[in-house]
Amino acid sequence: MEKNLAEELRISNIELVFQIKEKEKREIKLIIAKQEFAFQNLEIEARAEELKDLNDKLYKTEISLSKANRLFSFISHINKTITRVNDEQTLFNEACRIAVEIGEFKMAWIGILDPSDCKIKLMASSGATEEDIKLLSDEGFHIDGLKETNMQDPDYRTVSNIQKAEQIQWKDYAAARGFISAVSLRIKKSGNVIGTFNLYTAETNLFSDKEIIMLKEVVEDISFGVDLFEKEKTHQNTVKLVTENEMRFRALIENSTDMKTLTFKEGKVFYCSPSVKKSLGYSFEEYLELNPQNLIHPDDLPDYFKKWNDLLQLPGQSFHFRQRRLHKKGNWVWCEGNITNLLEDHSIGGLVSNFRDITEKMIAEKRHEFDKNNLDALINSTEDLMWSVDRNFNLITSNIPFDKMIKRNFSAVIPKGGNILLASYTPKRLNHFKKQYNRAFAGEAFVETEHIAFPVEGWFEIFYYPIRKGDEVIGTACHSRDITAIKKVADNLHKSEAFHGGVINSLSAHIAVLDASGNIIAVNETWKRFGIENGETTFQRTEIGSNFFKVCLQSVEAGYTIAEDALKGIKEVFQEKRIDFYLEYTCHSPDKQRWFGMHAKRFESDETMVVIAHQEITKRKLAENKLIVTTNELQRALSDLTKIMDASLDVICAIDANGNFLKVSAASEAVWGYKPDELIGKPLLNLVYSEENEKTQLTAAKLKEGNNLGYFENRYVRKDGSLVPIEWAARWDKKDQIRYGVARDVTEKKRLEKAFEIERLQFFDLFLEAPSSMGVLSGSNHLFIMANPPYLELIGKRDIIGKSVLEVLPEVVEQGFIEMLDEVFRTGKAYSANEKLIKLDVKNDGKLVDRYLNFLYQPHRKEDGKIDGIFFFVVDVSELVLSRKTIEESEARLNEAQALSHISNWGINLATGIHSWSDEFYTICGIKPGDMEPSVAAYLSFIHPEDAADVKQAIQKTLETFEASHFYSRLISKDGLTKYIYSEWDFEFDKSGNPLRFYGILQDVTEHKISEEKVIESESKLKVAQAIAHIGSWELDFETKALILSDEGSRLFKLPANQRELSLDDWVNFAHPDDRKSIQKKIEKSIQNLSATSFDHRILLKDGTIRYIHSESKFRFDSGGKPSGINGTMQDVTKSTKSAEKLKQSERRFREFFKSAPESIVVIDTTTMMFTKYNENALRLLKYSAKELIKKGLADISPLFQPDGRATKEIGRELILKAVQGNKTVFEWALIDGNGKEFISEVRLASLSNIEGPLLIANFADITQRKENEKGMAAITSDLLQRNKDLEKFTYIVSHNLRAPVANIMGLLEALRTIDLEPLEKKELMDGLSVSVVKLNGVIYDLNNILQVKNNLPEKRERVSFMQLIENIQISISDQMKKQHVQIKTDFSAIDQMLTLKSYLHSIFYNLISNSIKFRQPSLSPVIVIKSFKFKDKIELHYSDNGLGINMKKEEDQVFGLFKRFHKDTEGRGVGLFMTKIQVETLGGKINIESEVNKGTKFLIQFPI
Amino acid sequence: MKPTRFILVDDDNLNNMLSKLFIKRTLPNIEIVDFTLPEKGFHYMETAFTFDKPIPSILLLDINMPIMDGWEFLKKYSLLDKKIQEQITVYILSSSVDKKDQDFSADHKNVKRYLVKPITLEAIKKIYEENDFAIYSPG
Repeated sequence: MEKNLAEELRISNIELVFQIKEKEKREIKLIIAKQEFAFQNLEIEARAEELKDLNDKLYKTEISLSKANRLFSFISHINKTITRVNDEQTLFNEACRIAVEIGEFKMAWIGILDPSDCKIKLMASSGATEEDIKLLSDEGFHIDGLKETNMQDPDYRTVSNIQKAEQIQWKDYAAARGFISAVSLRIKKSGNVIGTFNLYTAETNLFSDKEIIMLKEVVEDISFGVDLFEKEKTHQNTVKLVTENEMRFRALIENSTDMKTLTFKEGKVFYCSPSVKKSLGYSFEEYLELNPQNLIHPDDLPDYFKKWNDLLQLPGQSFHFRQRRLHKKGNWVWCEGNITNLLEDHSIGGLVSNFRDITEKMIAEKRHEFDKNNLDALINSTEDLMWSVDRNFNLITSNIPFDKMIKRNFSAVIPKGGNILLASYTPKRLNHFKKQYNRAFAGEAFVETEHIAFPVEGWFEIFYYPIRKGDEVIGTACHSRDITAIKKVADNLHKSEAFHGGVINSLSAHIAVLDASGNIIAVNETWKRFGIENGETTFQRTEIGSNFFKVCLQSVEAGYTIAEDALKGIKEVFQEKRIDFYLEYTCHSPDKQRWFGMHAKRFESDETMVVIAHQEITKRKLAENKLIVTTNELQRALSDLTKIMDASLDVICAIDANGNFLKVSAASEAVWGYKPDELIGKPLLNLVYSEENEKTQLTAAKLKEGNNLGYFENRYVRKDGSLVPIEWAARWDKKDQIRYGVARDVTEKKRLEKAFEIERLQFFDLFLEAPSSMGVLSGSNHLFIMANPPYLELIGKRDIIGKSVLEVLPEVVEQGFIEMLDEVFRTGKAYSANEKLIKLDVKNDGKLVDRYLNFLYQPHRKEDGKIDGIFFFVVDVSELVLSRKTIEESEARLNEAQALSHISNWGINLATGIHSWSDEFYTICGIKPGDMEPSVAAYLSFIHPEDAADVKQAIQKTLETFEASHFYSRLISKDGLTKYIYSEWDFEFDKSGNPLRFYGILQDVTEHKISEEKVIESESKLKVAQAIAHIGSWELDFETKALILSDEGSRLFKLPANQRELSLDDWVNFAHPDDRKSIQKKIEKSIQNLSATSFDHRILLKDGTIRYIHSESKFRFDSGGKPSGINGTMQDVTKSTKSAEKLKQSERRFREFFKSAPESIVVIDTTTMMFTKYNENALRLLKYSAKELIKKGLADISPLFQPDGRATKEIGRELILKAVQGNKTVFEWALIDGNGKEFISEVRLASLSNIEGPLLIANFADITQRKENEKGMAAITSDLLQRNKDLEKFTYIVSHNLRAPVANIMGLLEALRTIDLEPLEKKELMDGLSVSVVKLNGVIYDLNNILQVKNNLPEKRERVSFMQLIENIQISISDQMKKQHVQIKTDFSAIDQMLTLKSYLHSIFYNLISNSIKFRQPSLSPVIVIKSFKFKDKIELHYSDNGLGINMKKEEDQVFGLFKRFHKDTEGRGVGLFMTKIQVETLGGKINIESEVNKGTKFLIQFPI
Repeated sequence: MKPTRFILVDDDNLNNMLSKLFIKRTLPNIEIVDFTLPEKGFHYMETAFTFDKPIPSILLLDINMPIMDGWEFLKKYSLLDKKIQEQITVYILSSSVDKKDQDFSADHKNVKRYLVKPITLEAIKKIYEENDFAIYSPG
């Protein structure tokens, strides 16, 4: 039995094997397999019946058989199911259901591995409770804790007894559910395990090998089903894609902005895409009619033809073109594309041309190129260094000066892209630069000043300026400017200011500088010193910081009224009412009378500062005061008369008989341009206009005959050359022979007369020639009284004068025009209207024509103000209005035409939710079709994260509103590229308005965007470069005559932010008026040569600021070599120019100071010892011309020796050195002026402190006068001393000589009185008494004479002849002369006369001659020689004799002493020579003596002339 | 030893005459020599004195004289041999009342006294009395 059963089993086993084999065949053909299954099924059932019948006992066997059956049935059902269903899920559901229902398993489930988390996902189950499903989701309850690795295991896994299995943790659960054993089978897809089919049963050992084989078959079937479904799905998708692609292709072509045309070999187009219309304006039909080659720009055509002809020989090949094509509207459109020869492709049979409008791109490229060139030109147009560096310290751009600098300093070049941080820098500098660059990278724009000592000292300003791209700093632009010059200028300025300070302090005038509000901002040393010395007595004493105006006011309050004048004057200088102000005032100190002159003068170039200088003028004043007193009276009388005359606006004049002006009133300046002073003494006729000379002379002659001239008119030539008509009233004064005249300027009257005439003529001209219509209506019924030709033409009528408007233009009545006229006539209000429509019967044929008019009705009033008519002015603007209307219409059409019509290459079917993407869509995303299921989410996954939110929002909004829209965004393709995309979409609606389809385009605009960005970047670079260098650029196009400015250029002109364009005229107007001529010349010259040029000039901005501009310009040439424009740069150099200007100004101020200083100043260069500067006063004092003086030094204008006897050169050098060492040096110095005259000057030398330099200031003052005064003083003193001595002597003399005879007399009397005398003795005494008395008398007489000479200046001076004088003396002493044989020899040939006191001169010579005779040598006859000599300023008389002579060694002091006698044997009282000397001195002369004993005596007498 | 001789030096003859008159009246036996030229007077001074036989003498000297005035005379006098000087007493006899002259002579070591003209009998007496020469004698 067992055996049988075994046999049975073996047999059935064989059958099963067979069946399995069969089943393998079924894979080839499913249906056959199914039939075989069915057949086998039947057989198995039949066999089972048989077996039942055969052995009931074989229950177990039957059970296993039924089990086998069950399994077969299970397989069979599964297979049936596979044929029935066509998707996985259903199959899985069915499989589980069949396993429980047919296979009688307690529970079945299918899990599929989710590759994303490597977990088994429950797909389907049967016989499972909710509890089971929950647990099955837990991996722990899976049969083997299915894991990924297990999935690759053999086909199955069984657990024959759960309770006994070791690793199973869910034994309790299994027990509760009654599961004894379980099996897990692998489900595969395309040969790979994708999941498991799990079965649980209450039976033990259910899963024998045979059963396993069957179960494996089940899962293989299921796996087969899964594969099958997959394949079908793929197939369906393929079919769907094919159809869709066709649709997409068409959509693409139809809607793409790219133009596509198909062309026959001959060039005729047989297809064109709709985008042709969009880009070129031709409709499909129009384009087919055209030969597109006719649209190509003539310049581009030859190349195109050549390529075209070549292409015809090359099937399948294509060529690229870029050319201009004519738009329907007449403009050129740049097109770029390919033409492919597909003539041999039968499906096409033509040349495919695929191109697009790249005008925008071209413009962008051109602009980019221009900007780049401009940038290059710009950065190379300056000597400044410019470069930029990226964040890796690599050099991006650099200008030529930069490269040169690098090459010069490092003997190397940094290539573009090379590292900027040169190894040859010291580490310190390297770090410094790195730090600075990093600062810029961090976004800081800053300036650094660098001082370089080597190789040449210099200062540089380096600008760091971050370059931004969006918010990100991508590098830094650097600009290094050499500011050495500015620095030096500033330095010089500083020095020069110090220099000026030195000069000012060395002046002796008191100087202060005031600002406009009167504050003292600078004073010199002299000013300070004066204040200290003089206390608060005047208004001139103040310190820096105090207010001079206030001090003046205080002085006014204190009673110094002069201060008020000073204040007023100074203020007027500030207000530019006068150039300068001079005031003299007293400033008496307690012990001295003093006068000062105050001079206030504005700095030549500076209206805000005034220099006040006080100079003592006491001496001059004293002299003046005298003069003033004497002339005052006369002046007053004259001035009264003059005042009356001068007050007249008409010229009042007196003319003498010769026709010369005697007196002219001040009005002459206004009338003739000459001041009275200029006219007096000159003939009136000189002024008369030459053509009217005769007329004037005749009239003057008539006047002399006694005809008073009431009115006469003639013309005069003014000082400025213009003519002035004059109306005269004149009278002849016969007695005085003077003509008095009053002349009135009648220019204005003449002008008015003429103007009136001109206006009258102009009105008629206007009326007749005016291009607008005009006329005059009169009266309430509007009669035409005037109408000009244009008006007649306008209304198409003639002969309207005298007719009413109603008669002439009946057609306007209904249009309300008459009412308007009535209204104007009634109310007097003018009426005007623009573009008023009026219908006129122009051709007089009854047809009304539309006319648009601008017109004005203006009431005309009579003199009494009443309205008597209407002026009308009419302008026909019909044409204008009509053409504007046409334009408006066409614009509207244009707008319509421009309405959006765009493409799509993606679509969403809103009904099905199916998304479709074109191939290119995938390409843009960097994937291939099929890589991804199209969906909104898939699309968004590519969008740049930063844009995702916007895009999402845009899509969401669109889906809510169903409105067409578009956006730009970025996208990151799968290969990681960032792309710019443009998306635009619309909806398709069904008849009832429900959205059907959502479709649109997606365009890769990266290229465009990049070129745009490039432009922006290069523009921003340019802007940065221009901004930091203050260099603007401009471009002048000869064709448009317009000037395009860069941002910085526009900023330089302070134009509104968005204005970049200037007309040529505007540009010229910006130039400073003073510079225009020179600019024009430069430009003209440059146009002649077509050469590059550069010039410096100023521009005057609208707000009044002045900028200094350095301009460089270059011509631009078109391809034909003709100049097409000018490119230029301009740099704002105001800052450096201003510094230089400031220096100049400071120097100017100094010069002003220097010039106006009341002293004579020169500047000495102590290295050359030459004068380098001098002021006017110095020239005046030294009497040299400026030229002469500049070649000289102090020694050259001085005598060789100074008065103290020292050599000029030696002492001069010594003094200068002393001054150089900083000592203020004042000394007296003899100078020789330009006329050769020597004079004494006081020289003050001051070194210019604060300045290292070889300069000295020398201040000269002529002190000749002072010196002379001093001399005079010394003379007076010595005179006084002499007088004192004389007085003493006199006392002495009196005590000796006067008392001697007195004493004798006393003695004699005493003797006579007291002593008894003998008669002889008595007589002797009496004689002695008599002699003494006579002697006494003689002495008294002499004294009297002397005192007379000393005290009196008697007589008149007269002209005395020496010859005459000597002759007279000879006559008076002729006895003695004869007796002693005296000879007197005279020679007065040089000069014989002098103006003097005759008696004195007589006495002098009488004394000398009598002395000579008296003191003659006994053995010799006296010989006297007298000679006269004439000198420049003196007369000398030389007197000599051959007498005894005087021992000069012994007697020198006493020769001229009173009562001195030198000869014992000769009588004499010792008075002669004393008297002679006194007389000579009284006459202002001197007398000297030379004498030798026994040889003779010489007297030298000098008299001044 | 009383003076035995008066020497008068004065350019004014009249004064010499007066002086002689008064001296003779006072000292009738005394020797008087007078000079109107100072040079001659000085020459006398040099020659009229010997060492073996001293003659005590009084010199009356005027100041204001031509060619050689009193002061000059004194200057030369001071250069004479001491033995001569010992025999002479010098008096200035001047018309000058100028204090300077008086002061000058007061300072002069060789001048005994300053006398203002005119000379009187009393003045001569006084001169005589105040002079008692202790003249060197060779014995």
